[in-house]
Amino acid sequence: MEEQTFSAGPVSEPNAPEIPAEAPPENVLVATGLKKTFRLSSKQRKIEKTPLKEKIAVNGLSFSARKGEIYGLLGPNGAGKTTTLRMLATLIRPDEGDALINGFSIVHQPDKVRSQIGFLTSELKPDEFFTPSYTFDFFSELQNIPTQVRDERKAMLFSRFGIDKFAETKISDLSTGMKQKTSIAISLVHDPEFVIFDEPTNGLDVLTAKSVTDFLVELKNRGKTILLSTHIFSLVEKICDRAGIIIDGKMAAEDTVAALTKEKNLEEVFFDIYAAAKGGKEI
Amino acid sequence: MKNIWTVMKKEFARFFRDRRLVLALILPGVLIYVIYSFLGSGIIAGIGGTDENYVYQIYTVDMPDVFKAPLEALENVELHEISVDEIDEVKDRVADQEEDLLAVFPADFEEKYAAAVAGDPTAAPTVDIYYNTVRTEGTQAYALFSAALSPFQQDVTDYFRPAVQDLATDRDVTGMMFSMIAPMLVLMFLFSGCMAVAPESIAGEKERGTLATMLVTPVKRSHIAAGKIISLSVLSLISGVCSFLGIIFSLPKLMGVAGSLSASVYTAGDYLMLLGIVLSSVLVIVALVSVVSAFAKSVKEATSMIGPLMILVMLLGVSTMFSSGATGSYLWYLIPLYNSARAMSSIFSFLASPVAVLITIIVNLVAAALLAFLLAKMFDSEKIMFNK
Repeated sequence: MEEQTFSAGPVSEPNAPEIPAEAPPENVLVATGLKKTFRLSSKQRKIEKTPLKEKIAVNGLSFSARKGEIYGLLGPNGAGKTTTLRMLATLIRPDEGDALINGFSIVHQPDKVRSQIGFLTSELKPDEFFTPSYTFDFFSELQNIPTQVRDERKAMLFSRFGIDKFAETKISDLSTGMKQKTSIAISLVHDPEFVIFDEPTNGLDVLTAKSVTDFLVELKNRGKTILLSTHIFSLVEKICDRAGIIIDGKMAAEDTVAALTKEKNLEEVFFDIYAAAKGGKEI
Repeated sequence: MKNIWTVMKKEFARFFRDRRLVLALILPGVLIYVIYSFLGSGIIAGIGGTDENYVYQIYTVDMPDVFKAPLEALENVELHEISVDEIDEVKDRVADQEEDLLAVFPADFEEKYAAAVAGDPTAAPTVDIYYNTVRTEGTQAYALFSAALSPFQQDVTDYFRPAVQDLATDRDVTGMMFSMIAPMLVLMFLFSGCMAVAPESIAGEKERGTLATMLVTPVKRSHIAAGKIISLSVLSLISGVCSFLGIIFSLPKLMGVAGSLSASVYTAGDYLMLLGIVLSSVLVIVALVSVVSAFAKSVKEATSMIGPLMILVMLLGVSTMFSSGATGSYLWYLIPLYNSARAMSSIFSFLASPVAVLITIIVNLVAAALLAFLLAKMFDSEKIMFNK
């Protein structure tokens, strides 16, 4: 696959703090004591077989992601990963705690945070009636990107993902893989410093999945910080620098992938941590 | 403001690039015109009218010749004088809708009539008339028969009544017709226009997850809400105007008053006030439907939730049919949408008060702004936006 660098020239984001060229590794994301509780309806209580009227989805979660690294967020279904990502993307507010992204608070400066992040999740979909090109232009306009920069960036991203041939095709007529690539391109219209990817390779064939993971590494190499939520242990082992394992809304373990997988592979480590967190219960 | 315009452009692109949606916007108006104009007159003739060549069959018993004369002069009436023995049989046929009318005069009608004219009111003769109201021809025959008898009735009752003459001018007829019907139609069509676009744009986008993509951009929620409401208002207005034109052009035929109904009796000032009311009303309706749509989890749910709202708005429109829109306190004009119906009714009946119209427009704009603010708050609410 042809390697292309994704850079349409440095776009000065008006609110981004300036980073000195020789600065030591800094934290782009600092989450402190994030907590989120949801009320359970009587129907949900029946399904979950609990008398409790509230469910703590995220319980005092603290972690940080450094500039230019890929941080993997691992956890079973219902552990609180999606809730955490939604809080970081400012779609929902934490009950307690806060997170700073590039120095902006998700609680007090959500508008500023939104200009700093790219968010890709299966829950957020582009309108399938429009073409990739129109959608890219629309979101560029919402992000205040100058037309020339937008066109250069669109040309590079579309070429990188092979969307250029389908730029004027309705998204509804694209294949699943092409739709996902379009979603990725659209989440990057403003060349964000911090990118949140929730299961970016879900439902993709191996070739498309590889092109997506290659792109994540490219982004990292260009100094972007990536928060990656996934179930795929091999993916974390392959591309993540550090990883955090969330169980029942709490950070059960957090370290570099190298340190975590010193003695066992990540899957085995995960099962051990899970069993310990659940008080030695078998999975 | 730039972001509001960006959202608006996207909404317009969404609707105007989709032929089906464009058709959905303008088709109701075209259909209304076609159906009411070409089929409507036929339907109305079928319901309330009769064949113009129809000859009414009127059976009489002991009918004096003096009464027969005016009826016999009519080309579409055929009189049959029958005997007293045949009364029951003909009565049955009238009941069975086979014949149109039976009039039974007393045998001593002329004596009684003479006595009554001479000053004995108790002597007034009674004429029994039988017809079936379900049979249209029967009702028509009764109308003809009563008309023929009425001069004599006036003599008998010694009651002077001049020949009835309709003194209403075309302007009065137009004013009365429009003030009764138009407010309801305007509100109804604006609402149905809004129904065609708002649930899809708000609940549909929420359901498909496309609205959330906008919520992770730095654009303010209030700008997204304003962009949606303004663009949807324009689209609803287009749809509403299409439907309204359809009904206005077909109204004369529909109401059977072709020729006397003309929208040209209104001044430019009337139209200007009307425009202000319509524009402010459409903003309120769109904002209202948008708020309900944002609350709903799907387009289907939104549509069913909006149903009762539509009935309520229609009732507000109907309310002007039974009341004089122009009179009463200005306080009535503080109720959004009801004020629109009242103000429109007053304009159509040439009794518009510019102050009332101004209050209406201001109140509606304030209501729309409050609802837009509420919509922006709803866009910011995780319970509403992400509660599946």
